Amino acid sequence: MVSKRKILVVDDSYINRQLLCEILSAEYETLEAEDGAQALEQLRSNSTGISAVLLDLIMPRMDGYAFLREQMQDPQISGIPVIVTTQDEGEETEVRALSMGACDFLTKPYRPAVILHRLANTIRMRETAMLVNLAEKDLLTGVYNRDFFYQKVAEQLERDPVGEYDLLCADVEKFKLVNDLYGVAEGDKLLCYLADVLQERISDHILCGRMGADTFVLLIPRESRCDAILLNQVRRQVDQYFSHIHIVVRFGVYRINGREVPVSAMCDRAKLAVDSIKGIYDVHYAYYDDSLREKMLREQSIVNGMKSALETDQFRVYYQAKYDLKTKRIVGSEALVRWLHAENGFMAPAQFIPVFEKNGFIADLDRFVWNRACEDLRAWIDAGLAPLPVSVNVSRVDIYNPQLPQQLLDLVAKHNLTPNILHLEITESAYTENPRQLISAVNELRDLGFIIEMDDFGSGYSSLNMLSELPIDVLKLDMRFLQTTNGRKNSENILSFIVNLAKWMGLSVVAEGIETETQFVMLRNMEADYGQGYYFSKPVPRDEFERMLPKASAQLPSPVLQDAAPTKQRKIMLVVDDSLTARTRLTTAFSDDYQVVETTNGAAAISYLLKHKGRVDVIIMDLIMPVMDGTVTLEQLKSLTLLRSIPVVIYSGAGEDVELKMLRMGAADFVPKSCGTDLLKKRVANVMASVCLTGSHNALEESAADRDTLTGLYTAEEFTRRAHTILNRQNGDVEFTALIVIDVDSLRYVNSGLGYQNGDEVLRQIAEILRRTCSTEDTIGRIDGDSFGIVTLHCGTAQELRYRIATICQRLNFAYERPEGMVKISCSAGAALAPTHGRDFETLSACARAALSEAKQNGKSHSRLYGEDKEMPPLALFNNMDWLLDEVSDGVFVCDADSYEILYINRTAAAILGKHRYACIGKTCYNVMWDYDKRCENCYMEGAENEQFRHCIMKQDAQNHPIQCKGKYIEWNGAPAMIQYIHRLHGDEAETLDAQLQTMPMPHPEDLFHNEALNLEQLDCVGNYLDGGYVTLEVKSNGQALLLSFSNSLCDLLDITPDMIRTLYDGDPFRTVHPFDVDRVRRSFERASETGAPFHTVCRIMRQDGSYVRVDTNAHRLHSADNALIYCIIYLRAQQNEKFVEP
Amino acid sequence: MDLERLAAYGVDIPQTLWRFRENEVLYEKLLRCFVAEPGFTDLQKAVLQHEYMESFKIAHTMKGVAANLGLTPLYDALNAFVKTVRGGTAEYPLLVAQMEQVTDCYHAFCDLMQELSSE
Repeated sequence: MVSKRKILVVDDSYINRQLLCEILSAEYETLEAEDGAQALEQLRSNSTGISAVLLDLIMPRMDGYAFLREQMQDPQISGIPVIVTTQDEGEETEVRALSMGACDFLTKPYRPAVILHRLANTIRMRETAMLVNLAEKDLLTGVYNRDFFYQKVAEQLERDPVGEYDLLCADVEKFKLVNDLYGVAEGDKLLCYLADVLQERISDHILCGRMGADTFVLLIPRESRCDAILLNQVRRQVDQYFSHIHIVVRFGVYRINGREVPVSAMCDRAKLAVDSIKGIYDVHYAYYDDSLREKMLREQSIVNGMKSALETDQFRVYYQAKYDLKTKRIVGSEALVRWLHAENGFMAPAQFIPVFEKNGFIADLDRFVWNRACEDLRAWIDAGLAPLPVSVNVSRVDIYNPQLPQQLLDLVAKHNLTPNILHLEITESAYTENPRQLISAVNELRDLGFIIEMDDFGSGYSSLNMLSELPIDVLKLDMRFLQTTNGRKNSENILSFIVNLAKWMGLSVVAEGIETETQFVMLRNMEADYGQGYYFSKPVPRDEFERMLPKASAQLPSPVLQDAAPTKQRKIMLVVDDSLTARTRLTTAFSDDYQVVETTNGAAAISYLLKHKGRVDVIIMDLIMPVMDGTVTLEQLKSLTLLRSIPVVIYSGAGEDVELKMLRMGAADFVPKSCGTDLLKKRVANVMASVCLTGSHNALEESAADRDTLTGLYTAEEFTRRAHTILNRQNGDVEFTALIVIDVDSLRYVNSGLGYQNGDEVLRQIAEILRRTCSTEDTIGRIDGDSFGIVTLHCGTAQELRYRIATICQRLNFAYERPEGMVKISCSAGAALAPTHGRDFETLSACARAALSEAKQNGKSHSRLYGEDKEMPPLALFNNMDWLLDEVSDGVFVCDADSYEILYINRTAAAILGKHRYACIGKTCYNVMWDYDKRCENCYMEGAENEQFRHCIMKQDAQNHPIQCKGKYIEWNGAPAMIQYIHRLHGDEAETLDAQLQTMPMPHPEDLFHNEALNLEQLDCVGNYLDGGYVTLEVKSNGQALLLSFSNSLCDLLDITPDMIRTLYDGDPFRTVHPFDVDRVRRSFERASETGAPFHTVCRIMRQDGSYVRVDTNAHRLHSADNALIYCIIYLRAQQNEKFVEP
Repeated sequence: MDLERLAAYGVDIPQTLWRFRENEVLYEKLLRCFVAEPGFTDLQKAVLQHEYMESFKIAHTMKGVAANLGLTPLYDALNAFVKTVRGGTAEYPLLVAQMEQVTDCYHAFCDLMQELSSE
């Protein structure tokens, strides 16, 4: 069981605390504090366990503001979200508390549902942020990863500008030996052990980070107890880890003097110190000092040679191709620099780039690369090659150059290129250093039309904030980072999360460093867009790359180029408000983050949404508006499948009672118009984070093992497991869930004609289409070799579902073309609806499969909803489906089997009887139908075990039309009841019947069958006025049938002369039955004839003109003296005038 | 507990019990707590000694509690009082007049609780 989240309630009033705890108790565990000081104490001793704080502002000792101030300064607890509880203090209080770090506001008196809703939103927001921050920690050892450690150290040094600190670097000598001898798993364990020992022993350390495979760095105060003795103890403790080999840990210390040196350089120096004593026996720690300048000197030689290298063309630009993961086509490249050194030969970028970054020469080198890339691009375009974009690096120092945009613009103009062909790669570390500068520079570059790529996302300080603030187009993920730092599964989860996040923000994703097929498939299944790496191609010199480029005409316009149209796909906000002031306020507040669309009322909003196929990310809506107000609009939005998932934030001047109502109706949040812009923005951000999380969370929960390797969909087991979970969760929910089963019609033709590889490709394409056709809420699995399953939530009515499966089949109808030949692919689908057809997965699955096989009988590319062809199952009545029954043309009512009281009546029945339905409920059926005060003489209620339909022809309705009626025993809420279907008879038959009814008492057909003496005359009397007809047949032991008698009405039904009836029924008794129904009918007939029981079925029988009429068929075995098998088959037209025409 | 008597005092019973998730026992317990709390005495003292900031803090807290307990008359009186003394300054005669109002409402409530528990 998952433990409840903990909430800290801070309020000086015992009464308020008690009340809040009571409100929260159902969903949360609560802790209490009387004032700010107690609250801080609680948070510090429990920092990871508390999900949120509810804070009163005015308290004795330490008030809410003081609490916020302290909390935000303590990195251990600053991330815990705080919701302030106030008493309508006005915007001033709001702004002050928000600016101090509060997340949201609640007002007193408390409103339980509102508190719970808001709290849930806030917690989700925070948990989303934490998911991203997984990337901040080294998942193996739990200490900070390198870049984040740099960031944290920089923050600490800035916070305390005069404090004296040292950096202590610990390095395991010959760590690789451990991996070789004991395996990577043991090596990992050692690293964890080392991280634990370091943190535990050097207890006064402030921060701990992992720099490389076997290197840790700690920030310690200068006055730390950490001395040679302590370090020796640490060393010995680690050495005891393995009994067979010595583990030698050495330490290097850099004394931080001043704050000018970048943290990364400080850490390098600590590492230099430890490197300087590597292999020296008995020396276990060293300080960084001038003797280490030697290394600097090496760097110096690089520095000395760099300028002349640039002049003498020692730098070469290589290109690494970038591929579309779906089509595997080349879509662009990244320009990379190499140094062919005059003395040292070929030098890897890792050797010289860091040096250049330090001394600023990188700016010159970047400029050189940009220029070369533009020259090459120009040359390729002139040579008729495809104009694929080239990504170039933009270093941190470039960002600080105010001339950069103009210089870049001049450069592309000089080569007669457009800016969007040059993609600019920036690194996220630039953001941590100077976010404002970076944001403004990037904004300017984007406005000029350059495409901005974020390099190495996820490797360092990655935050939601950065992504939302930086107007980037493309996110680049480095696979190598994710592999080395973390375990495989976790890295996949994080990767999938980041891809989802990027998609949600409308960014393209490029995965760098793809080296294996597995990685490629995984990324493609995650729907990353592009890939780059040795799996596709290594970086190659210009000429070689040129040969890889397709001709301009042969290549479709590059998708990267298209994606990267200057207007990045921004999130769309739909504002619905009749007040111009309010609209203006909203647009001003959100236009930075959203493309804001304004409408003045609900009707306009819905028509906009439908026109744009629901492509809106969030709706902000007023309540009181002309034409269509907010309440009605919200109701409409939630009733439309297409629009249901768009979050709606109500922005209204209405009171608190309305707020709750809106939340219950499905609004994502409610913001009073009186509240300030900051709070409004915060609430919307919380809502959006929740939406994002819903999508991404799924990604995090799953692992590759649950996915089918071929299609990336869920495996059969996983699909079944998920379907079970969904259906269990669904219990009692009125919304409908459906199970759809899809079968590829002719995969074997692909396999046999084109080979299995092509068969696999077809399955992949089908999976892709399904993914695109389904919403993120749907669960899709490959449940068998060539069949797929979908569990869809909120599929709507049976009609909507029927439309949906028909659409899916239509989409899955495509031509699979290969040079070897072309195969037309089509699929069939069957669906079952919960809870109509069943509540558990097994039942639904059986129903859906039955529907599928029925669909397949109709030919290729057919779809079918279970039970479509059968009578309405009475079960439907149980599940709020009465509205559906109101739509059918038959009257239906249900009455209690003992009291005859009407328990349910549909609109049609009430209309036929000329009464209001509510006037019928609770009255007896005989009273309502015939105004009798006791039950009809021939109406007898037997036991509920008798399940067949009984037919009777009753009198007339309110307009003096005769009514035909048939009833059946059912169980209704656990008690025996009778369901009656009634419909009017029209025209001549009605008139004749009417006359008949006047003159003779009607025998009940049921009576006839119980009569020992067969009275064909009576049978005829009933049969001839049925909307249908009957035949009596003798079935011989050889299965042949002999027609004994029939009603004339049957001739009408089948549109034939009496003479022809004999030819139809003599011989094969099933000759008239539709070929698709015949097996079923034959089976149930055979079953029935074994026991002599009556049977009931619905089937189609043929008319003279070849069309079919659908009939409700009841067969009863008649008693005969010689024990012959004599059947009376009564056909009732199932639906008036409905014909089935064979396609 | 006689909820009708509370309603007569001015408590919106359905609304308040909804806030307490229909936990009547807790509601009654907290009503008694409120009578036992020293807040009101402290407030009187603070007003007498012209300690405006202190008066504000105490009244503010009491106001929040009164709102949660659904004690509308007392809440209204405290609300007026808090508005006057917000910011730590006030016109003393006005404040005293409002304090009288608060006192009346508070005593009426205490009397009612006394009666209810002796019944």
